[in-house]
Amino acid sequence: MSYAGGAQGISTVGPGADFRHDYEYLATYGERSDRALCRLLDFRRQHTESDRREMTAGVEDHLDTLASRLFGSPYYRRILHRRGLSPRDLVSMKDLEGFPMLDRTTLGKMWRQLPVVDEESPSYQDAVLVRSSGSTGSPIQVIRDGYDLVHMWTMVRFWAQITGVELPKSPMVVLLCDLPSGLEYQSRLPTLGDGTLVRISTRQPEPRRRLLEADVDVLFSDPAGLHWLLSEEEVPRPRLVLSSAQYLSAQMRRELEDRVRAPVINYYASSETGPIAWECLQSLGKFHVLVPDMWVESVKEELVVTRLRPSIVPLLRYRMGDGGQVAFDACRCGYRGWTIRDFDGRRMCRFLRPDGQLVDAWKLARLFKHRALDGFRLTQLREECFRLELVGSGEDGETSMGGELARLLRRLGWPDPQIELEYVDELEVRGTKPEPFRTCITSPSDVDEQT
Amino acid sequence: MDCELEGLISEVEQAPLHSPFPLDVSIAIVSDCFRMASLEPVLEKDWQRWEEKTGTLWREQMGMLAHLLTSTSLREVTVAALCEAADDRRPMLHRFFDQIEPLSAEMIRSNKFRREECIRRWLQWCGAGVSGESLQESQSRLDRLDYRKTLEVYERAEKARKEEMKVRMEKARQQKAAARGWRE
Repeated sequence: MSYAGGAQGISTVGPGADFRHDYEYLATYGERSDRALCRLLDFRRQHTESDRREMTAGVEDHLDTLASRLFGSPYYRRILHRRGLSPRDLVSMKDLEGFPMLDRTTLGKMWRQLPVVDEESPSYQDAVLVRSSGSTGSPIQVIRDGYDLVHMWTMVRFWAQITGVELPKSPMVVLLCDLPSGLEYQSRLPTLGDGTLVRISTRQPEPRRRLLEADVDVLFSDPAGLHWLLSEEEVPRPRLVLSSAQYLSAQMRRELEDRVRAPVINYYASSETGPIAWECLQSLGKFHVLVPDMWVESVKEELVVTRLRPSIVPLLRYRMGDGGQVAFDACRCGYRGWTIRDFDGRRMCRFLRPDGQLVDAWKLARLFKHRALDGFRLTQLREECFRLELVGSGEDGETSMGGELARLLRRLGWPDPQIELEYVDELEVRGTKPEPFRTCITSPSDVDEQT
Repeated sequence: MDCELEGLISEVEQAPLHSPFPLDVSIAIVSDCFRMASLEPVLEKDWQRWEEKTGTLWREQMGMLAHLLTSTSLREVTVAALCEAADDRRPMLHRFFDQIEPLSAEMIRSNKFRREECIRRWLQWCGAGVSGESLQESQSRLDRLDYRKTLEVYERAEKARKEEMKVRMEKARQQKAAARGWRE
């Protein structure tokens, strides 16, 4: 996700505030962050022995808040009115089935009409327009309120609590970034125990030295950044590691846990929804849903998310485009609630090297992320032969990508990679989400690590 | 007389409506309920008055009511309730139509909430209860489903939004005019 501006462009129907980093301002969300954390932890405590029915009833207590937000959203008023529906019809989670779903394209088009217009609310006044990173599709505009922007620090406190990690006073958080932009910054975190956030780019000078000197307590990154980290001889010793955005293989997780000796939280989130679930530390491949903030349904095997946590943009049955099954679960890790299984978001893909080794294809994601591409797909055709499909006409200066890709593949162990560059009008999609990496090679040893 | 609402609703879901009932047939089907309860049907002039007053939506509602009465056990429930009723329910029939006033046939056919609202209103009119629910619980569910209240909220919110837009446009116009004056 990247910041796209001070929301001036939406001032006719939406908020007009500027994005603020100052300490005093961020500190005003401390109380709300405490409340949000209590809500998650209390729900967990209250339902240690509950069965599905009791827990569902507990989640249903939060439907009225969602209903009042839907009344405030011009988009939802219109869409529900057209169907003869009322937000007041939402009494049980089963009632959701009678409500329409929202897809990514519609959200991208209707972002001006979605927010709850409430001139008096600080959340509305502090809202900003952000642009999703586009790691799983074309970037779209998303409005976030003031609290949405600091909600991740509440989540860090939550995950620290459930993994038994004790964060020190004023924790140091490092966002390790492997994106080509090389952006770096520093900010205070009043809602995370008065901590500090430092963004360190691997593209800037001496990233390893600066990372080690930062004395990091919480390390944020994505698998691309973590690949870089694991390629270094010396790694920091954070108390907690968080990974998101791309597929994190079980092998990489094990390697990471061995070297940094800290729990690794692989969470499922999107710019549109915020955090939705996290991968169980004991049963890999299972993602535990963050109830009662989030509710996830599986509709025709696609994950559909309803955000029950209050936000300027009510999200009702948002189609994630990821596949998976949702079931009630009393997990051996102690989690009780709803779990996503057979999750196929951030699809795993491994390329076969000529020496027989399998390499996580997402290691190549850094080359494509945050590039002005309408779409791409890299397919391994044969051991040394790859096809790179780019959406567009080739007139936008992306012709150098073939060379960059070949260099990166050589670094990853292909002695003489051949790249077929092809420009296409659109990419053929299997399922509902882009599939950036594919392989035509079937290896007998290529079994899903997570099963 | 209590009705098994869940069972009734699943009967409706299994009884697709192939073509709408003409008004005179719908009136005859509703009138039959009165006859079967040994009551005089509603007078023809009353039907005519409602038709003149409420127009096409009322015709649709009558068609849907006839469909529900002929394709489910609602007719038996209605007749039994009318037989048991201590007072004459006919003068109150206009209240039923007032309460479902914004519901179109399409809503009742395809939207489970509006369908439930329509059936519950009918049961309330004929004096039938809902099994497993106290009177207060039934009333509270009806209050929640009342689509007229939702339309009021939608209308108020839209009005407020238009007002706010007007204020914003005016403010923007004034700012533009002020900037022009300054440049000139």
